[in-house]
Parts: sequence; structure tokens; C-alpha cells
Amino acid sequence: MTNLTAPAPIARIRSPLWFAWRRFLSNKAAVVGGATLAVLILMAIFAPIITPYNPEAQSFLTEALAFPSAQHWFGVDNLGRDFYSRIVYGSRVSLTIGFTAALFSLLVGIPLGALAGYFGGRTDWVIMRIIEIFSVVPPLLAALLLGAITRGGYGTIVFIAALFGWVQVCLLVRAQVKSFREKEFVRAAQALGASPWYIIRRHLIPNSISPIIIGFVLAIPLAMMLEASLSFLGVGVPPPTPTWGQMINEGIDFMFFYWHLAVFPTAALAITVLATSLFGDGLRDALDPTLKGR
Amino acid sequence: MPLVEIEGLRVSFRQYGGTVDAVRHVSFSVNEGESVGIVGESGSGKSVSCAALLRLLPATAEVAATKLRLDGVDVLKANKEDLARLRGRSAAMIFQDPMTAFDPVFTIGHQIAETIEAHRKIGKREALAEAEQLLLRVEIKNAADVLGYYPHQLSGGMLQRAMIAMALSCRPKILIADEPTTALDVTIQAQILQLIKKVQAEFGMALIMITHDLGVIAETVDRVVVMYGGEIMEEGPVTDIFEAPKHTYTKALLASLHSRFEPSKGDPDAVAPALELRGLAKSYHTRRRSGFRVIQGEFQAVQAVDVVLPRNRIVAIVGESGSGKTTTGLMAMRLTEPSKGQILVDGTDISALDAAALIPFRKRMQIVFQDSYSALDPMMTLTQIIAEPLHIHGMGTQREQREKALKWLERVGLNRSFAGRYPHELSGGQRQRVAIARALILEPTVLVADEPTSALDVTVKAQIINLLKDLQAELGLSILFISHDLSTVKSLTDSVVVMYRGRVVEEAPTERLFADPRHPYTRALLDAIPATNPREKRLRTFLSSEEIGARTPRYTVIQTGSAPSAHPQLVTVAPGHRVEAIVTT
Repeated sequence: MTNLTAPAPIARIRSPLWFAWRRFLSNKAAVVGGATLAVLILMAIFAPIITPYNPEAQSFLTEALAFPSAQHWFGVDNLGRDFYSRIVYGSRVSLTIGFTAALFSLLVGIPLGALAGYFGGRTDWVIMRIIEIFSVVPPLLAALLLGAITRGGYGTIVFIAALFGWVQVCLLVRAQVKSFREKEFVRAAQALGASPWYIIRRHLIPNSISPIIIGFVLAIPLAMMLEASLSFLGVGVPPPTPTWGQMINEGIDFMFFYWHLAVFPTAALAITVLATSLFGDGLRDALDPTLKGR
Repeated sequence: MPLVEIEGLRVSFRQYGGTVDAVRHVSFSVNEGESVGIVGESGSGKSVSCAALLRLLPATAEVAATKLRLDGVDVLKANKEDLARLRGRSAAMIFQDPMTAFDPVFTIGHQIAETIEAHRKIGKREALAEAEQLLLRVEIKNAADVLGYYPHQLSGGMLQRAMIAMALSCRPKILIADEPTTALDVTIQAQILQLIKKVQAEFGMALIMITHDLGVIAETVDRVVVMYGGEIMEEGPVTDIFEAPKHTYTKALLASLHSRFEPSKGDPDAVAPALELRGLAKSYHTRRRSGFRVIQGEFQAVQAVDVVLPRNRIVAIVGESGSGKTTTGLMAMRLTEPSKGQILVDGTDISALDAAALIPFRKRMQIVFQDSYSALDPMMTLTQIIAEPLHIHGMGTQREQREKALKWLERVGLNRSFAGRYPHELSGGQRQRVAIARALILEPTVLVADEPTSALDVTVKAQIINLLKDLQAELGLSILFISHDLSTVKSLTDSVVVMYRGRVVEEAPTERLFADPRHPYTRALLDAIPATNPREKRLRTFLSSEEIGARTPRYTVIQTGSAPSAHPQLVTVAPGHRVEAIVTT
């Protein structure tokens, strides 16, 4: 890739991504988390293929509340639906809500955080006041209100989750940008005639990659939990569409006698959140070139 | 029996998949009351050897030695109590950066008293009284006040004095000074070195001076140990090392100490200077609250400075920290907005241009900073960093930008294989080379170099200075070189502007300034340069700021042709030599 006529054998110049991949692979927990996440996503995509029954059909009313068996891996719920199928289909809702909400949080949070951190002064003041408005309102209460007005549903949950998720991302990015703005490489770029937008895009945001990933990873379980809580309270995704939150909600009623109704959806949610956190952790370390020595 | 005996010391650090030897076969001893200097570049193992002596190394370090004795105690076998006694009573250490050596949330008095109480059974009140005595011993005049100060309220020099007082608090038999003056200005450095010598004599201590600067060695020690790459290269009395060095590394070190005047090549085009600062000033508004009233004040960081940088020339701005030299450099680059004055680039005033109109001038003037670590984006590879100016100005395709960056990588003396590396993998000198490459890739006409060598070792410093000199000749650059150290600028610059408290106090061609300094502050700066030979070491007297003010030169109207005034003004005393003086009738 360099000069071909050079006589000395030049060590192959690896691309930064190659090193990032190496660092990622060296973190076992992150690999396991990533693999779990991949399995979960594949499960959500191929739900119809890997489930033996329709998740919404009450085909097994006579066996309602049956414990796990060879035929029904996770048992049957109170309305005679195969619980395994419902869990698999539930991942579709939980995962999409989690990721879209987190993505929207980033879309709003990164630019606002970078602006507030870079320009400071009046811009910072305005953005901080907006953040304060969002931090003093309890998210669940606001979500309940909004959910009740719009009668819940998928879009509303994503909207609400993003509405409260960006605050975290924004604050993290702002703090990072604020501390890097004074660095001399930013001064050097200014001396070269770079526009503020260029400096933010090329220097400050890449250097904020670790708080961004942390924010992203934090936003995913937050959105999933919000969906679960709202569904649990009855203003989330309307039944009979299976979601994990809804299932936990229903499972609680039967928890003391039919443990499987509460344990499986809770475990599914916990595993997803854990896998995302581990994966995000590994990703953050992998994208930090100063950790190349590993 | 010697106080310190080290024989066959070997320190290795465990790392991912293997161990790295930091120090090998190191043996030396220090007798009571003796001063020994350990000199070497960073990474040569000089600090590690001394940290091993006090068992201050991290847990990943493996220390092995046939003999490692301090004050008759075998350090390797010492238990916790022995170690606590050794650290403090037998040996005390002072560090490079006094700012980080003190805990910012406790007062100086508290921290010194704490050390005294830890080693002796003594009451709080007595400990504080003793701390005050110690501060007086290190020539801190308002000792009683300083006891109640927090570290951030003191200057670097004062903190280093307090650090020495703390080290003395347990009456150690040996004082280990690990680069005690590297972070300080030259004038302060000279004061601290003299102070260390003084307290060493008073307390009858032995001294180990760890440094990369042979000047410091020449000033302070009797015997020198030269280290390189974790091994001892040479050892002997200080005069022998300076007069008859045996090892090539020692010779290289000594060579970097002796610099000659070298005028820049190329004609200083008479048309218009490359950069001219006219009456450039910067003041900051200060607000202080007293009761309900807010008192508005103004702090003059820089007072109406005139500096002319002719084409193809290198001009130095020299002054202590806080003298406004960096602010002047930043204002010249329009990175800090000046309060008053004009910045002329090739005869065009750029002080009032907006960001868009400034872009063509941005290509023509560049800056290199002191701290090469924060000057490079840690997330970018070297090629990306060097190609950034091209990227910003949209010059050439990606491939061309890359090729040009690689060319510049070689031009500043780095191998092409460095292209994909990140800044944190480089040494300080290499990072500074990358910063220079980035600044020069657009081939500007003016370069502002803001203390580019202050954070570097002497040998590396000399290399960077040579690089700048070479590039200046090749590209026909004009460089504004900002420094706190007159000895650095000696071989590099054509003329020197001395700044003191936001004013220009003297300005002259380099050779003339060194030969005939007129202003007392310039003299103080020249006097503070460490000796280049141990035979030249001498007792210095230091002027306070009042004394410098009082000794402002006086000239008559006939001598200068300027109007008489009670206030100091810049007068011309010889062609190109101006000095701040009071003109009397």
C-alpha cells in the first residue's frame, strides 16, 4: 500500500479497523455479549421459522398454565398460548423499541451536546435549561400521560423513550466536548482555518466516542424498561401483540404458583440488557486506539 | 560504610505476554554528605533506579539486586515498619511537578505538619510551628501565611520550595531530587538549585540529583552517573565527565550544551516584514465581588507590544511564565482576540478580518504548541493528522493528500512505517515532529512556535531546533519562537525580544543581547542559564521584581533623542537594540 520501490521490507500497515477488531476479540465478555445479541436479533428476525405455534392463538386452552415440557418449552400461559412462541415474538418489539429509541437519543443528544459544549455561553444556557425541564419531570409520569393521550402504541413508546433518553447522551457528550475544546489540537485546527462545524465533526465527536457508546448502551435498556413498564401499566403496546413487559405484567399475577410465567420474560429482558451492556463496553474499548497495546 | 549501596540492580516490568527490562546491571553508591547526579534521557531508567531504592515501584515491577542497601538496611528484605522509617528519615524525595505532588484540598501547613507527626511523637501545634521554621529555612519569607495557603495559591517555584521543606521535615540523610526544576522557568530553576545546595550543606545531607540537563548537573553535584537505555554508561567526578567524556552518549549530551550563534540564511526582503505586530495589547476584564458591589477591573496581560518579524528570519520572544509571551503569539495567530493594535501579515492588517476573510491568511501562518501530547488528536493516525490542513482547505484528492503527508513524515525525520500509528505510541520528540509537519505542510510563510522544546530532553531539544533551522532555510520561513529560556534561542534565532510583565523590555540581535544586555531583567535571565562547565559554577544573587524595577536603566535626552518622561519607554541604544529605560533631561 506504500511505495513499491522501497527496498526495506515495510511492515504491513494495518488499518485502524483491524486493530479495533483485534481489541474487541481480546475482550471475552464483549464477544459473548455480542454473540448473544446476534442470536437475539436473529431470533427476532426469524421468529416465524423457529416457533412451532402462533403466539396469539389460544390453541392450548385446556392445558392453560401448564409448566414447561418437551412440547411447550416454556410452558403455556393463562390464556392457552405457547409461551415460548410468545417470548420469541416479544423480542421483536423489545429489540426494535430499544434500538430505535437509543438511535433517536443519539441523533438528538450528540448534536445538542456538541453545540452546548463547543459554543458555551448562550447556546449552552438554553440547552441546559431544556435538559433541566426533562430532568425534573419523572419520565414514567410523563410517559403515562402521553401514553394515555395517544392511547399508547409502538410509535409513542419510541418517541417517549427518545424524548427522555437524549438527555443522558447530551450531558455526556457536552462534558466530553467541553474538556476537549481547550486541547491544543482544536486550537491547531482553528489556526488552520477549520470551521466550528468541521472541528466538532472531525475532532470532538470522534473523541467523544466512549461517552456516546455509553449513552447508547444506557439508552437501550432504558427504552426496553420503559416499554415494559408502560405495557405493565397497560398503556404500552396493546395486547394481543406479545411484548416482554406485558408478559412480566401478566406473569406477576401467577408468580407464586406458576413461576414460569414471570421468570422467562424477566430472564429474556435481563439477558438482552446484560448482553447489550457487555457488547457496548467491548465496543468502547475497541474504538479507543490508545488501548492498542493489548 | 556508604549511605546507599546498589549493586547489580535489575528492574523489569511485567507486561502483556512478557517482561521488559527497565534497568540492568546498575551499581553505584553514595557516601554521607556526597552529591551524586544521575543524568540520562527519559526512559533511561534513572527514576526507576531511585524508586527501587525506596521500594516505590508499582506491583508489576520485579526488582532483583545482589545488594540494595539504604542507610545499612537491606531494602529488598525490609518490612513495612522499616520501609516507613526509611522513607522520610533515611531518604526523602522531591518530584518534578510540585503541583501534583501536593494534595489540592489541604493547606500547605497541614500537609507538612502531617508528615512531621507521622514520623515523630509531637503535638499538632508544635508540628505547625516546626513547619513554619522549615518554610523559613527554604527562604519563603511570609512563612506564617503560606502555612494557611492551599497549593493552587502558590506559584510553581514557591510550591517546589514548600516541597523541599516537607522533604526536610524528617531530617533525612539523603535527599533524592527527581528532575526538581524541569517544570520551572530558568530564573526559578537557578533559585531552586541554589536552595537545594544550601539546605544540603546546612543539614549535612547526601543528594541524588536526577535530571536530563547537564547544566543542572554542572551546578549541583560532585560525581555523575550517566545512564542510557537502562544501563550505566559512565561514572566519575563531575569535572572528568565534562572535560574528558569517554562514552559517545556523554559526548552527544555535552555537545547539545554548547551552541553557537548561527544567523539564518536567505535575504530579509525589505519590502514588508512577514509579520508585524503594532501596538498589540490584550486586557481582561476582572470582576470582584465585595459585599453587594461588584468591582470592575482590568488586567493588562499584554501592553502595546511592537514586534517585527522580517522575512527569512527567526525572532524569539523570551520571558518568564505570565509575561504575556504566549498571549502575544496567540494574538498574532488570531486565536485570541487582541484588545487593541494591528497584526500585519505581508503588509495587510488582519486584526479586524472575519473568519471567512481570514482563511487565505490561515494558510500562510501556522503554529506549533508546547504540549505535543494535547496538540495531536488521539483518535487520528499520523497520516490523518499531517494531512488535516490539506483536508480542511480541500486541496487534492485523498490519495494526493496521503502521499504528501507521507512525504512530510519523512521530511521531519520519521519513517514511513509510522503512517498508521497513533500519537500515544510516539515519544515527545516524535510527536513534536508530527506537529511541525502538520504546521508546515501548507508551506506557510510565518510559523509561531510556542515553546516547542520546553517539554523535551536536551538531546531531543537540540534535534528539534536543528530541524526547525533546516526547514526554515529550505522553505524560507519566518519563525516567531517563544521560549522562557535564553540558552535555547541562542543558536536558533536572529534577534530576541525580551518580555517582562506584559511589556517588551529589551530587543536586540541575538549576539548583541548576549554580549551587552542592558535591562536588569535580561541580565537576570542570562545569569540564570545553568553553567556549561562545573568550574564555572558560582553563587548567584537574585533580584526581586522591585529591584528589577528600581534598576531600570536611565538615559539622557542627548543619548537617546527621546523626550524625557517619568515612565519607562523603549529607547534605541544601538542599531536594532532597544531597551526600556527612563529618559531624563
